Amino acid sequence: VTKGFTAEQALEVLSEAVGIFPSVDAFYMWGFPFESMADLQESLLQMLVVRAMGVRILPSLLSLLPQTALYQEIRDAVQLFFPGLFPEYMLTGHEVCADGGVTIADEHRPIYDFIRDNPRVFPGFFHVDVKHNVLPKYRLLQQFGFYPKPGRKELTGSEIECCGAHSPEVGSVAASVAHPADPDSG
Amino acid sequence: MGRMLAGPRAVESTGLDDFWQQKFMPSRKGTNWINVLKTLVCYRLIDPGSEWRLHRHWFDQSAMGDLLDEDMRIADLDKLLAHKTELQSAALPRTLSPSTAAWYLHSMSAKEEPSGSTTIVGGRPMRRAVEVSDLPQGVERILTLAALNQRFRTDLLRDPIAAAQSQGIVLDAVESSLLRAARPEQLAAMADRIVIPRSSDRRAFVKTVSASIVAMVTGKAIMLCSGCTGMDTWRRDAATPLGSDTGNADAGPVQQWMDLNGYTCYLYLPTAVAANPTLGHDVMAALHAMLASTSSARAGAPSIVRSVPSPPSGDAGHSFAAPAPSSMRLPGCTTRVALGCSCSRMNTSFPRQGACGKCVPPSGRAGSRSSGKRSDESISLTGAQWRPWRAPGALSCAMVSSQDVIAFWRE
Repeated sequence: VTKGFTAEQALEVLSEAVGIFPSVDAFYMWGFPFESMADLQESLLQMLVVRAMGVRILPSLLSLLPQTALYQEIRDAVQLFFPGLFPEYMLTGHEVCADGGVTIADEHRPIYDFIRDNPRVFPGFFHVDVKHNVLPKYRLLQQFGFYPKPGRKELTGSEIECCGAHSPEVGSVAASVAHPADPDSG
Repeated sequence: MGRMLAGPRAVESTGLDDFWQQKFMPSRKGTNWINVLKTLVCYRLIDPGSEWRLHRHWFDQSAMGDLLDEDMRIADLDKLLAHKTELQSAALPRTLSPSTAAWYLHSMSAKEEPSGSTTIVGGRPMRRAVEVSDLPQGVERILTLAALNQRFRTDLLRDPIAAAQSQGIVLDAVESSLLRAARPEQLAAMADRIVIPRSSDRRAFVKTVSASIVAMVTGKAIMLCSGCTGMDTWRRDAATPLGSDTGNADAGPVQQWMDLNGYTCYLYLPTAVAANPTLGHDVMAALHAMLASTSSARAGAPSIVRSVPSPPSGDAGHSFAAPAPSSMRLPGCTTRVALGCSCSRMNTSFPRQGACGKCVPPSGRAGSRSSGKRSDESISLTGAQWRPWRAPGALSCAMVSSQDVIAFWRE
């Protein structure tokens, strides 16, 4: 991925930025099909350092937008509609998110049926190789607090603002939320 | 171009244009809202991106304006969102179901529910944090320590795993893997850049985490002041003078807090330091004394409002006698003092006893702001002395640091 700057340059700028701006966000996109676990670990190391500086880390799972060269390149690859883990930018507002998982309420299920039936129109909702490419990376990011993790105490409320894109305040439906599981398990 | 021609037609075919036409008449300024809607539909379907990009780039670069004979750069979605519920229940004809139309409308916006919703749509709610004790902290700890300690930094670059072990820092398997894979120059850059965040209540949690990590790693106590750091919200009951939350003493530093001159000050004591019942009090007492000294020099300056419940001997009531600046060391206080400031370079400047470029040293000689380097000659480790320090600007902070304590507060 060519962004026009190096990771070292990003670190330098972020370090300067936290001394200037009251709040600094850093977006880290992950889940590229060509991204190895070693690549992710390199990103993770920097995310830890940047988080310690006070920068808010906003991880974003790759979303295959239809007009991108990447999508055009891999559009014929096996893709999976896996609503348990939507890319952040693909969330529509009808999902219930809790503990890192996403569930769909019955009244909104037709929307997602529509999406699932039209992968070429809504490729952003689909993944490439969830089992080997997405979930292992997701769990690693979970481990370091960049995504919610079931069973881990999460601090929420107006007094807290911190590092992580996923920060739902969950309503009563939360109890029924399932966590993203291995796609093969059903 | 064909897609752009088709987009507005698609809107018309769903009946959405009729729906919205009843809601919004063209504004006094001439904004035709149905054309705003058509633009958004086309943008979302043809070349989705941010609203900023739509207004600043896509609209100008596309034929949309010509097709609609509009200048939409002032368009705002907020007026549409007020009718979302109505839209959901409307009997829209033809292609789109109401729920799909509602989905479409919602997907256009990142503004409707910035937080407190059951989803993370659009604007990315921010109110979430994980207790630091629940996360692997080895990487942050060794890099923070490397920023504070030149010798450890050298060890770290040579063998990060052995360096961590030498300090009793436990790394989990992933952390070890991360550090083994990192190049020495990467680690060096990270150690150079890692900082304790500056004052901002938006980053209170991270600030607290950083402070507690430094306390754990370095064996130093760290005091943070709400006036500087915005940490009032870390403990809702922080107004209690000198409260404490010992938690699991083996797991991390002890947090104490007190009200100092109207600011809630937090003191993080590593376990070993907390085991000494006098040290924390000494530190606080010394801070009181220093504040009293600086306050007395200014007419109308606020006085100390509370002191520790068990002040050291020599204390008279709830205030402390202000010793001379050259000997502001209270009886029994083992704190040694260096001078610094609370800028973002704080913890990298500290171990070298330097000021960052934003500081004006006591002599009045400015630091090297342009280079951002420490101006070692402008500041000195004063051993057992307290020396007041004043940085320019509204956030006038002093940092007192030593082997025992790092502190900063608003004068």
